[in-house]
Amino acid sequence: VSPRSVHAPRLAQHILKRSLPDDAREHILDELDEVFARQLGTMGVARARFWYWREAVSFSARFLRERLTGAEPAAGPGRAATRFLQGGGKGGGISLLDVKLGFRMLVKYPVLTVVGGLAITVASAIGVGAAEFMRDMLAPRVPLEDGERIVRLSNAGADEKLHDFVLWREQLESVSDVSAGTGRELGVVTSNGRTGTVRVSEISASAFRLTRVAPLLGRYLTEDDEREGAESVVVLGYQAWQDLFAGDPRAIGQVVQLAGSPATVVGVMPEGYRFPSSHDAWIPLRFNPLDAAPGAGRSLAVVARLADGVSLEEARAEMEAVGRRTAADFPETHGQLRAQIDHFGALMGSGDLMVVMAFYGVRVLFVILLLVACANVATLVFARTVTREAEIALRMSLGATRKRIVLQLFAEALVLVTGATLLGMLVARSALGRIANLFWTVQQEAAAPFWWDDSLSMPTLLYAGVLALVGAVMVGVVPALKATRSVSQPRLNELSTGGGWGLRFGGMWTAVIVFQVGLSVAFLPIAVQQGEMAFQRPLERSSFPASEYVTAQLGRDVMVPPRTEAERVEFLEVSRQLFEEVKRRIQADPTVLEVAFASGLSAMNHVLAPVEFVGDGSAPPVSAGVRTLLVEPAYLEMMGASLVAGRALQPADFAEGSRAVVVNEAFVERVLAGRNPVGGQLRYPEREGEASNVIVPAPGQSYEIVGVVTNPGADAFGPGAHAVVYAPLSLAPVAPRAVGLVGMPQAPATQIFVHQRPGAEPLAARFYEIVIAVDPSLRVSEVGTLADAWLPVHRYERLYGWIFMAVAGIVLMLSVAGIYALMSFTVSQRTREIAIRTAVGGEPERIVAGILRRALLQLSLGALVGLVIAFPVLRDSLAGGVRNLVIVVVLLVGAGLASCAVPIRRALRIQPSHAMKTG
Amino acid sequence: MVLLAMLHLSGDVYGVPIVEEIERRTGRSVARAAVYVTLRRLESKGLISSWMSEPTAERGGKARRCVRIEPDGLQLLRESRRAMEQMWRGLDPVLGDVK
Repeated sequence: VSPRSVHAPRLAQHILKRSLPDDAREHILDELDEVFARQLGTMGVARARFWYWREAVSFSARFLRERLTGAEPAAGPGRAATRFLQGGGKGGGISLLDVKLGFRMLVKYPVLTVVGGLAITVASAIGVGAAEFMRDMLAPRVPLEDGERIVRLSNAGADEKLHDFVLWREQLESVSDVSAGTGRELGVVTSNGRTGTVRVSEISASAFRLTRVAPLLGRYLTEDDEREGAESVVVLGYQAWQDLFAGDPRAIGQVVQLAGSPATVVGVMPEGYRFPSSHDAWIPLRFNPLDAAPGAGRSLAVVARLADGVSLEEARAEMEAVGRRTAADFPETHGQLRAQIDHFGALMGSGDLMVVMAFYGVRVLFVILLLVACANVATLVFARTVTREAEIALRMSLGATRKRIVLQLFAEALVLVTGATLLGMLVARSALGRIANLFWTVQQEAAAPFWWDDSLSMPTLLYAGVLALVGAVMVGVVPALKATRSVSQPRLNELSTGGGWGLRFGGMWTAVIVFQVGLSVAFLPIAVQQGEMAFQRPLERSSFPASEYVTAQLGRDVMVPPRTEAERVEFLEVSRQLFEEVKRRIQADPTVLEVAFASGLSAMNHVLAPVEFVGDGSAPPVSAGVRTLLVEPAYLEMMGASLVAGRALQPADFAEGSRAVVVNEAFVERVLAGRNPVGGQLRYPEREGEASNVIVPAPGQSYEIVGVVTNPGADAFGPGAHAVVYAPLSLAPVAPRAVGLVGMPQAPATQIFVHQRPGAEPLAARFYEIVIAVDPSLRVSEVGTLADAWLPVHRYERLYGWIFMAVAGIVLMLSVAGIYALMSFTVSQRTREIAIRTAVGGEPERIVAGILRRALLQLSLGALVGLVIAFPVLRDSLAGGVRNLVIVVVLLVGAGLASCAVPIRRALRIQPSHAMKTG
Repeated sequence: MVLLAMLHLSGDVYGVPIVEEIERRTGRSVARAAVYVTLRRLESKGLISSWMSEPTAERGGKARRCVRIEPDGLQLLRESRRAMEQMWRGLDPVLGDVK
């Protein structure tokens, strides 16, 4: 074989090229080739190749190690940066090797990896998820051209009315395209007979200019459409166009019936366009500016775009000035109001200090949760670090600085915490969409607004990064500093003579164990109880046949809203007659047992109104937030509530001027702590500038509690039922508030409840036909059984339960692992003492008993501390609470004692002579 | 050992002959990579220096990276020899004649 004709293995050469330093690569390869050529002559091709491979591996390994450990001589411009990253011999930073070691530690200590990793994952998932959610609430990114320059104009303290809109549009110069809108759900019928409901926004034509989105077909609204007497037109959203016209372009020019009135389709907006929130159709906002009296009229949402070159702050300043002038001009209606401008989409005003504080408060809360988790993991890491004391001492004696060791331990922690945080972010990302859906459903919105974005934003990612770094410092640096502090030359000597554990903790460890047990005993039973409640509620309600009840929201819309008081009274009277007719027709259905109206679904009504209970004067008045439901006479009995004390609501109580109400048992328990309420007086305080959709009977009036009923199945919330006041609902046209017609005066709405015979075909499917047959101006929405209506509430509760259970599970896991680590560590500390005592004739039983006694004392002390904290909270529901408490205590004490077993056995097995020698 | 091998060699001194010299004198095989790593370390400490030789025909016109010992290297060898001799002194009766 001619040496020149055979090449060294190419792959091996390639590996060598990659692993050798730049300045040595050329000549080492040449010299290996030189020897390879000689080897070919003496040992043949195959063996020479094998030889080359062996050398390639050997060279690669040695030079890579040189690089990683930083022993590589500094030469060339790129080296300095590499050396900095590698940390070099001087311990300047974290090296690749540190990170590699970190990964090795994850594998080497799987329990710590799983326990610590899970804890940090859950804590960071909750923290990151909450931060993103709050961000979306406070400062969302609006996916429109220059979306951050779209603003919302509002009054702090009251709804914005027509008057405000007209005034702002005329006076403000720092914003353009000031537009107003109001949304509602309307029944729609097309000329080809298709029916459905659409979320319609009655909106200024300028809003389309403001969003800068061109229509997909036809045109959008123009100012001409807003004129009185102009042809009624509608612009459809993409989805509504698909649903009603199956995407047919000939939809343009067709006439549809919107709430019984004809409107011509003039345009279709592109997919995804749902401005201003989650709307499917747009009709022009028509009004007469002369009707715009201050503080009166319809509530509107007002939006605008910042004028070119104007900042939000400048616009705010102008808005405040205009607000002050308005307050001076109309002190009665605007004296207490504050006009403000905020980013469009910010559900909470970012200019409001309280909101901002709440925003950061929530963040701080979750940061604390993460820190508690990290502190627990740090304890575990500390216990591990202590077992590596010999390794650390040796390294320090070989010249490693303390900084170097701390950096290495930090890098190990960073690997764990970063991995867990990344996992937490993934969990948060996948959970956010579902949580947002639930949130908007429970908020009684048809869908999340169009700008709602479930993905994690850049600031949130940065925030997560900072959290991970802080977590790694806690988990890695704190234990490392503690562990390296005690390593010194005398300690080295001790270690070399087999002296064993040098770190003495004594009192500190006792305190840590007591604290750990105490925290777990205090928190866990409470968390488990909360979780149990969340999971049990739906089961407890199952005795109530929720699927036999069909419910829907019934409303009425007219295209031209009533203006004068007389018009309004007439409108309400007609509405009442139509509602009664609907009731009569449903009642006539053979599958129906009973029908009743109420002001809403109490399960979904999350607005609590404050009431004051005066009683008979023998005790001080009590104030509390309660739910108030206005009900028809048949409602309570139909929902399975029975009278406990006093009397039921009678027909006379439904007459005008009557002031009788009944309350439920939960009201008696929660608000009055068991006092008899019958005959007592209830007062709804007058509140200025409150949102008009809070359902309260006439404020400022006194009501008499005439009876107490059991918690009706329909309103029951498990053992912790809400306090509810049932007041008479009358559909007679008085003032809109007093009759419990929710929302705007021109759109009365009420909840209808239908009890069907068991096993009957659900009425839900025919509901729409029955109602529309009565009058096309009537509107039905959210038709379904009570079970359907509760579904989102159940899911919300269950989510809450899951979060609690996850946190509780993590705490329990951390506690058991932490106690195990601490107990076995403290016993290990005494290994030599135990061995010596055995050597001098101590009975093993007595020695073991002594150790266990001490452990038991520490654990009991902790349990006691926890009990003192937990008892007041658990007292209310002693049975379940005590059971959980016992389980937690037994589990923790058991884990603590079990963890003593292994080290005790090890200590007892040590040869006495060996113990004496090393002593 | 690398420094001593270099002293024994004459002509172009580079990695390949150094490895051979050590193997020949000690009778043991040497990890070639270890010798190259050591050469780099010695150079970084200023004990030896290197330069590229004239291209040679036998290597296809390629140059060799040759090394030579610097005065500091020689000094270090002297010191370590002195230390070793001090350590060996008086051990003959214990170890016997090793020749």
